[in-house]
Amino acid sequence: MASGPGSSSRVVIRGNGSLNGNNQPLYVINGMPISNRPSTVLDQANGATTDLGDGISSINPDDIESISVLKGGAAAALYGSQAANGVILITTKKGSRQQKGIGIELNSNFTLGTINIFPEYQYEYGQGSQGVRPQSQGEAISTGRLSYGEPMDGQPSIQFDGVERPYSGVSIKDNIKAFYRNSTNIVNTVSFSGGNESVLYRVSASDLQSGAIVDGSTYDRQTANVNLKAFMSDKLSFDTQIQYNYEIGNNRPGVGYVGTNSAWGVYLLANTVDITDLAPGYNPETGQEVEWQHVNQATNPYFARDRMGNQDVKDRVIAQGSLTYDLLPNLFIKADFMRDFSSWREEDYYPVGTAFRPLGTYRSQEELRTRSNGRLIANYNTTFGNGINLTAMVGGNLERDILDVSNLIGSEYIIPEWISPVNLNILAPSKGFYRTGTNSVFSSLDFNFKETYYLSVTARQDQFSTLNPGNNKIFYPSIGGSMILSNAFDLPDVISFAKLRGSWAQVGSATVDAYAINQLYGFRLGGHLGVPVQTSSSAISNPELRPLTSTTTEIGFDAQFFDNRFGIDFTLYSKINQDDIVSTSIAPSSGATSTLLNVGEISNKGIELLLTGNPIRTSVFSWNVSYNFAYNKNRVLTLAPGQATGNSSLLGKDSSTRFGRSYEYSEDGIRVYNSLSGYAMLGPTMPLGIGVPPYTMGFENTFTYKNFSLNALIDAKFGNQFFSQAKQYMWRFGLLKETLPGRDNGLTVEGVDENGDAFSKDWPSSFMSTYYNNDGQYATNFMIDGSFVKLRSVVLNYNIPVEKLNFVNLTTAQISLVARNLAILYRNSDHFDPEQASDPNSNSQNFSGVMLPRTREIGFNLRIGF
Amino acid sequence: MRKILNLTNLFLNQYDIMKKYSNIYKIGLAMAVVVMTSCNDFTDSLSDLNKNPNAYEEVIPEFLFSNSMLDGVAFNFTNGADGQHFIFAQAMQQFSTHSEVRGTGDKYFNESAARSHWAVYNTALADNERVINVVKDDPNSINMLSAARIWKVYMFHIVTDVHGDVPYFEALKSSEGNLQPKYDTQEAIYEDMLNELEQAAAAFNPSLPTFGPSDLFYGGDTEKWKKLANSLMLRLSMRLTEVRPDVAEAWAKKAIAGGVIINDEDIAKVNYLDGQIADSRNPKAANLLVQDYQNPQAGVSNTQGGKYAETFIEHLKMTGDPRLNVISVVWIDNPDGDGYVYDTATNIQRGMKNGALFGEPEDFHTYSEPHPNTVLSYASPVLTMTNAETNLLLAEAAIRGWYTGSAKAAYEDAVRAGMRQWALFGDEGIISTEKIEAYIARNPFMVEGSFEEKLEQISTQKWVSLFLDNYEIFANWRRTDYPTLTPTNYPGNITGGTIPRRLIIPDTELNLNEDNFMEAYNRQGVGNLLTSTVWWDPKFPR
Repeated sequence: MASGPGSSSRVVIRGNGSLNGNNQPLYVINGMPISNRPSTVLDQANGATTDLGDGISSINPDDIESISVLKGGAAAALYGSQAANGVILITTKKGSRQQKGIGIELNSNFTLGTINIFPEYQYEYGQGSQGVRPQSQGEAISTGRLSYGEPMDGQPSIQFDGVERPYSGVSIKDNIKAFYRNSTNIVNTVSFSGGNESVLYRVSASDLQSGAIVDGSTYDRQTANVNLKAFMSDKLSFDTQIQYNYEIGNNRPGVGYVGTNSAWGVYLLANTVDITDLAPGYNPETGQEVEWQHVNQATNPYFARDRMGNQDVKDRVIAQGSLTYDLLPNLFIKADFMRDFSSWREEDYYPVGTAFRPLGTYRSQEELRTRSNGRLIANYNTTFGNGINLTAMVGGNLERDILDVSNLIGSEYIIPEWISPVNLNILAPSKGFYRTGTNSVFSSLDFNFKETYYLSVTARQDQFSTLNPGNNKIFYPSIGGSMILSNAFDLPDVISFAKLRGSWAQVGSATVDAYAINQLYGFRLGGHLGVPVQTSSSAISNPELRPLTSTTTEIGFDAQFFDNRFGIDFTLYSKINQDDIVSTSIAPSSGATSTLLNVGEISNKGIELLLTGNPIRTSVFSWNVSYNFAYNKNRVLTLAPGQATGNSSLLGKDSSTRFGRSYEYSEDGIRVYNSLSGYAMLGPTMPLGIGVPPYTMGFENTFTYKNFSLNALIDAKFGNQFFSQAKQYMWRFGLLKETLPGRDNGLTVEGVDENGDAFSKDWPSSFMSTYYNNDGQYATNFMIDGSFVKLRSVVLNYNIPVEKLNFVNLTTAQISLVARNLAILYRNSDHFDPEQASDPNSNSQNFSGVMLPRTREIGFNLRIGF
Repeated sequence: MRKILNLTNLFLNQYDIMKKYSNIYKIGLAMAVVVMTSCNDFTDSLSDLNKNPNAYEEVIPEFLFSNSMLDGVAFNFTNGADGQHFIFAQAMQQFSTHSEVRGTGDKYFNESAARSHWAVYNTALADNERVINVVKDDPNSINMLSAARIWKVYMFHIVTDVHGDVPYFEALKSSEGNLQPKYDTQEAIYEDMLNELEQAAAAFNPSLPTFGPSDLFYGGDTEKWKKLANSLMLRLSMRLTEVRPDVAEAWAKKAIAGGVIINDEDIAKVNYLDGQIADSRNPKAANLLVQDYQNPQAGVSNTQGGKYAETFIEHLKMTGDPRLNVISVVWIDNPDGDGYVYDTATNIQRGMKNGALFGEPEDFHTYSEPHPNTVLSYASPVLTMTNAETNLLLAEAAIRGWYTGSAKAAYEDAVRAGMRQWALFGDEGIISTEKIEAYIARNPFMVEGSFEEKLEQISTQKWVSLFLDNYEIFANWRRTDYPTLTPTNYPGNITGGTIPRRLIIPDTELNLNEDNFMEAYNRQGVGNLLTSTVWWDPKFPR
């Protein structure tokens, strides 16, 4: 969660398989898929980029009974193309017949987040440019984000507002703490559950109220959930769940390039300015923004926080029902239906007085989204021969997705301070309606011989609406087998259980947006002076697109030793995605900038290891320990001809590789300079690092002593880097220690010129601001190592002995202290949290903008059942 | 929270009711049936789903041609927010800024904006090519084809003028599968452009259909298109005076013989409206306003720190040019009350020095900036080819001996036309005949001057008369070296204190069309920098 509660998350199972497609897994609730499309409002031009959460961010954790992960092809038959990136299966809590009367459970959770990491700046030279402090208010504004002035001497010096203040360092830590607050998150859930012979039910209601570290930014969510299972006869049962969500986001923090992103001002303010002097950020009489520096897109952070705004409201209903009928004792048919419907309304604005949009802007977006799945299956089970058990299943599935979007974009408020689309000089509506569908048939056969030998065979065909008839179908099979060695053979006593398994599975899919195979034209709203004007797209459509396939081969074993005290689970896998549909950039001189091609081939190969232990197991004390390790090697094997060559080609490299240009070096390794300008020449484009960490691991310990339990999770990732735009700007603006050399007496650069002749240039100290600003081009300076070891979570539980509390009728009571992101035990990243990469929707994860600081969260949880 | 509890109660009540009547399975079944049947998306066939109800699948040539024209006429202002306007108008010392970030042309400092013109390929040029592909095989559409061919030359000559060797013959063919077009020499491109103009102009047939009102220049008048083709031919031919004088002479004579734009009503221009459709407001005015002068009443703290340049304002004052008072204002305190008013009085106009300032000077509000009711008027036109320019081209042809008319008469007609055209920008742009004639009397054509003196006078007049047509001013300055501009030398500038002579081809070409890009890069041997030159530039290494 990059920007606080209710924002999007990113999960990828076994590496990115597609260059442009969504690589996140399918989320399945009680057997049926939900929509997880993120709601990110991206409006780079106006600087308003806000993360409004995704589908999974609105599921209440207190309603979840269990979560399991299907990797590889295990989900191939049932979920098909939707499951090409794996499946996260969520089972929600249900009623129980064991419950006597109505079971009531209350859960309260409170956490507080504090900023835990700060950059390190230089505090030797203060605000200014060319070695001189500001001499006037105009110069103080022009150099508002430049720390290339004189040595700090504490003397009164003019600042952006015309006020003189001491020319001495203001710690960035103090500025960050002064601008941001602690985040809060409060969740209360109540549930009622019970059951009898014919009905099981669970009803819950939940309320979440949270505040981000940015003052005034809140996200509230109310959830109601009904889960009902009815046994209507001994052959017919009905299962339904309806979840209703009501979510309100207010002033969600901007996370994009400048504009609403307050972090730009907080992090990039010159090092002798106290951020609180920028408050309130506007003139209370005129509403005009008070500018702290001269690039007015980089808004005054107080103005961004308090005067710009956004609101969003989402109503979401996830309704599912299934009917199961036993035709015969060993043959049932089951009909499933799920519709995930959401209505989402978002509005954001810049008020009159915004420095770079002085007349104000307005935008609203309304989205209606549905994902509907209907599925019918027949399942037959029999035992024959000499102990062979067979389960045969055949079924069909229809999926339909609709996204219906209406936008209003306007500007120029007529009456200031009244934010409404009816109060604008310019207003333009737009409309989008996107439908996709997939029709599928599938079957599976599962054999089981004496609960020792297992064989499973599946087959499925998907047909996609987004491709042209003729190449819109794909058939794909899978086969898997396993053997329980501990049943088949007489193994030594130390081995309590041992199993070997292997599988080969294909999944087809079509990662194409609706209508992308058609070349489409629109019209300019209102034409031009009475003449209609047609518009076009700079992408060339490709009607020949066909489905892509993902093929996973894996073998593994798991074993338990010493009476299940120690266990090992090991998997070796290879996942190859072929015919990946890649949005391929093409040279604009061809008349277009991109097209879709079935050209990508990406391989993910890796190992997964899980070690578990239960070294101490007594009635009063137990210790459980587990360690998991995964390594994934991602390689791009095939690309379009135009992209398979050249310095920035991904061919043969990890698909999350970041490219950039750095210094040019001669054959002898000497830096080459442009003799005209005296700056180092830019070298060729080259790989700078990979964004997705190949090594991940986790180490978890749980200690239980009587009514206490302590759980601690350490996790670690290694081997990734990201480009930090924040560091690039900090460097360019003279905030970093790297920009100190030469400030006192100038800097001499030496190397060779374009012709290979010796070159040197003396840069006077007054040129250091332009010299280091130019460093912004050499990307290697701004790559940050993403490796870390973190104490991810610590949870201390105390189970209150309710049986001793006779005065209340409690069945359970538990109080917990909860801490997340508690400490970074190892990092190699300067200035930032190594997990700072910004956009959860980015496959490559190799870029970070100027982001909100990350937090450490500490809180408590109370659970009472009666 | 109260709402949720109510909801919960509702669900619980429902449960009680169901239990009471013990027909839960009937309700359940009914629900399932209702949900399934209400969802008629399931019954539509897959291919029906993939039709976008909000888009059209065919090119309508006239409507897309309008789009190409609207995108193309002001590309340097509209593309990349402010595009190359900052580079050219500052480098040509008509505008200046105290900003570093926007100071590419002012300080030769930041080259990031110098790459954005390339996008004309995948926008205005691509649309025009789609139009050509639809009309080219239909003999009845010959007038549309000719107009589109001439318009293509107009856009392409700018691309090659700012970038040198570029893809031309193989460009714009992505729909035919060519994703990596070869680069052509500027010489070959110029030869073909001149031929295209000649052939397209000759192919017009007034009895056949035209683009009609969708032709934003001339409403389908083929005779005017012929004059535009010849005027462009004259502009292009004159570009070659330093590198191929023989070719220049032949094409200039051909253009003049064919007939160029002489009368005001033949000016190629697109009109705009000050209305609620943002795209129909003059894009040059809109971008100057939005990017810099959006709050002119304040008169201070312009967004990009922009003002008119000292060089330009001083020239207008020194020559007593009446255009000064219709394009330039200083915002002063309102003598009758609150706020500011603009003042066009000559004596208070002053330009800001180029490349001299980082940071807003204390006297920033005392410098001149664009007139709110002419240069910044949403309702003003964009002038693409004017009789002021053609007359200056004729004057130059005359002093070269390629035109039998009088250089003096052509020059004076150019001055008159260049002043009359400001009336198109609004009533406050009207310059009286007396003022025009007084200017001519004060600055007579140097009939007795040397060739160089005459060329300087003509080119300097072009610098003033084509104000806002940044591309042409920049190209003409590179060819003639007039007006004489003193480069700035800002600390840490990237050109070694020389005025930029080219724009930069963006990295997308190096990355996606590497072999062809490198072939042209190595062939020209001038790099891909602001200081690189193009073939017709006299400074191009030969």
